[in-house]
Amino acid sequence: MKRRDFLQIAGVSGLGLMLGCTSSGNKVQSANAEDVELSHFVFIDTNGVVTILNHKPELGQGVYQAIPMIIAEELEVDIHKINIIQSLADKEKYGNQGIGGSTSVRRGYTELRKIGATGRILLIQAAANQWQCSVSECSASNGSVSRNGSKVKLSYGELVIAASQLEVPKEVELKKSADFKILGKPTLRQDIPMKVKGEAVFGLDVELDNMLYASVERTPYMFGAVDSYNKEAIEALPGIVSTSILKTDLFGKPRQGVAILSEDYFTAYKARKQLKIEWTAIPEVYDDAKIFGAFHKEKSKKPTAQRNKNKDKTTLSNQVDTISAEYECPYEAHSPMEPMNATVWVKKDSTVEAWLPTQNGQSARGSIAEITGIQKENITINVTFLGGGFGRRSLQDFAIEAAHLSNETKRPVKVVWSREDDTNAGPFRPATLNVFKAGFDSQKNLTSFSNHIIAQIIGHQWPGADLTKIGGGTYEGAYWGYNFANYTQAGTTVQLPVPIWYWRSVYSSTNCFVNESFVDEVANHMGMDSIDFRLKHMKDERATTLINTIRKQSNWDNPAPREFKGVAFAHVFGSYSAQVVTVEKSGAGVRIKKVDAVIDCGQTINPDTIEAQIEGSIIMGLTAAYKGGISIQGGKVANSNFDKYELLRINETPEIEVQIMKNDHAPGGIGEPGFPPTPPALGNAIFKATGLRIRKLPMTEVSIT
Amino acid sequence: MATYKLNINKKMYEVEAEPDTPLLWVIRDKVGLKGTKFGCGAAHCGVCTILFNGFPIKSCTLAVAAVTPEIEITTIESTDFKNLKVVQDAWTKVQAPQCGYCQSGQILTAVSLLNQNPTPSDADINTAMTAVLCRCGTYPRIKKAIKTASQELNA
Ligand code: FES
Ligand code: FES
Repeated sequence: MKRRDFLQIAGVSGLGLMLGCTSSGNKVQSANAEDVELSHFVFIDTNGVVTILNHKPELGQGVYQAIPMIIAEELEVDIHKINIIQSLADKEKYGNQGIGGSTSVRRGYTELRKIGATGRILLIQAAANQWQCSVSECSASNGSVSRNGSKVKLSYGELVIAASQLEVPKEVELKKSADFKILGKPTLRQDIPMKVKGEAVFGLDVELDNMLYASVERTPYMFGAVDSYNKEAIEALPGIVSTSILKTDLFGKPRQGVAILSEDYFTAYKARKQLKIEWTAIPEVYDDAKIFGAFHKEKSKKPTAQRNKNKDKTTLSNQVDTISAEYECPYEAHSPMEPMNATVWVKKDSTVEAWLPTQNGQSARGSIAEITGIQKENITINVTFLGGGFGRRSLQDFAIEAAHLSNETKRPVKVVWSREDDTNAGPFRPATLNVFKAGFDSQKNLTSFSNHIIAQIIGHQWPGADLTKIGGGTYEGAYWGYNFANYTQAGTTVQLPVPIWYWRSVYSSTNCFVNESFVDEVANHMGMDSIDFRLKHMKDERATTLINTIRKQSNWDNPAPREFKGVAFAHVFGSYSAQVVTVEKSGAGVRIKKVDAVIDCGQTINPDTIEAQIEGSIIMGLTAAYKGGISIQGGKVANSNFDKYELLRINETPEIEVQIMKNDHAPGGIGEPGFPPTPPALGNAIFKATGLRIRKLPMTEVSIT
Repeated sequence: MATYKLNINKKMYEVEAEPDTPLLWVIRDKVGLKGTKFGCGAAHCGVCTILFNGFPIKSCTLAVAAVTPEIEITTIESTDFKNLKVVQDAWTKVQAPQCGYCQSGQILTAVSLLNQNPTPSDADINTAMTAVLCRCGTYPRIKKAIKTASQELNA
């Protein structure tokens, strides 16, 4: 295959060339070489230049480097010499390409290694054939195959044509982790040079000839339909090309808007101020008080579902004392720095090309097929870099809007959301109420522990959902591994007209805060040290090792004068995560001095990326702990830009120290496990410093700096 | 529509735009330099930061009509602005970006800081860099990158 064809297949032609393959990103181009496809993921040209495709969306979590690292390890090539490019979204070729639940590496690990190993075995076989020897006499390393015990060597470039014609082996042997040369070593990311030069192409940066920009005035409420609007007046404004009602739905309910299209974004955006829209189908109007009121009504009722462990009637009969507590957590917005946007071009020849900053290009492909009536095979989805996502971009509403508008105009349309559009629409991290109760015997031994979460359930929003079932994910982040006697987790689903969605670490983002805070309340009631209490109640050796490690790293047992420390633990998304927050008193409040973190995510791919993900999660965790919270007033978001929905800034960022455990357990997730322990570790530290137990996020009862 | 002359990265551009169009959109969509990003449109986040005669300014709330051709505008695409490359290299060395979206604003703000103060303290870094938000939380590495660049400049 010629390089040009190959680039087209890989979605890097023309404009796409910039997507993963800018002048700096694409380090090597060999002239007059033929590119040979060894698999959908691996191309080697006849000069030996290796190109590996990353098939997962890159939103900062580092898959752009990590996926090729896994393949390169088994393929036996130099990671610093390969080209990396972003693949198209194509289920047939790449399998599931969605990202969410910190799954890219942990679910793909073995398959990706097999892809690399298959390439290696084919290349070795090609060499053995040429030398007329057995494969056991050959070995591969650094992009070439050598004949053992001799200096004879053939480069992959010399072997690739022959290798590509061989039959693909059914079974492949994978390397032993002791022989890894790439995995587990900090590796420079190839997307970073592009990102520091402003060359990386995000969704918002896509530019096409004849493109229209759309700005959409969506229902200011959570849902709603457009009855009518002043179409003629708007279309008479200078620079306005057309307007239309976007008849879009979310979870089976209308969530519509009026789209204004222009040759440039600002003209379309500005015209929105002159819109006069009659809204209809507006849902019952809620605000914060009414929402939490609805949760509190459920407290005394039977939960939708519950699970129990360590049932022990004898212990329970000795219960003489109980404590209880209620915790509230607010909605949160994802607020990636790049607001939602999408570019779709429904072409006159009944094909579609789209450029999407999406966490799930395949889902967008399906939706575009439905909207346009065009077969999936004729829909090309280019996945751009994503300016953050945190779960938001796994919903495809932005792509659906662009598809409708391009379908109507048959011109390329880029829909751009303003920051307010992005915050107002949600969908949000679910708000929650948790009710806890713990019992003790006369010796202050724990006799029961129960947790009741009352919240909206993400999966219950679709019409026809089974409202009698609550998945285990609803309890994630509330550590079920504690061997508490008479341990109960219960859940109650609440239906509210506020759309919710997956947000970094999902229910763990609230569950860990409320549970690890109440666990501390229990330890305190028993007069036990927070870490001793946790260790006493856990069996899993990886968990106890982790806790002992954080104990040491954070200097838990010897705090400096005026320092107070809080701890929290989570076992989520396949990884173990523990943190200690150190605060000191400052006036009536506290100052955060340091966050210590330890993560056990098994076999590591790129430890530098893991460290970065944990740092970033902690900063997002501090934001949610004491700055965040979406407030709903009169059925609308009350804080829709960063002046009122504040994010942590650099001057508010404490020292952070991250330690990664070394072992060869299967890889765990890294994008989410760093988040859950931060808010509870902070709350627990504040309790120690001030005696104030914070049971409501964001933590506004105490000044935090 | 009116015509404006803009001096961007030492090159003169002539653009047609409505006078109230924010400079951000003129640079991105009329001049075609996409490295300057849009985050909030209301001077809260700083990801749209560019340099005006070497000083950081938020381009999302500045009308193009207020810009004269005498003002030297620098964006992330500049190839020769003083110390920009040193800072970009430091950013790569410490692997500062995650999603990367805010980084043009971060880098230009840091370049301006270092050009005024080649040996900034932690407090100086905090004061200058607080203007730019990063949802990915790359702040610890931004601090490290600025110190790395500072060492490089003073070597
Ligand atoms: S986009 Fe200009 S400050 Fe946010
Ligand atoms: S790197 Fe993603 S917002 Fe800063």
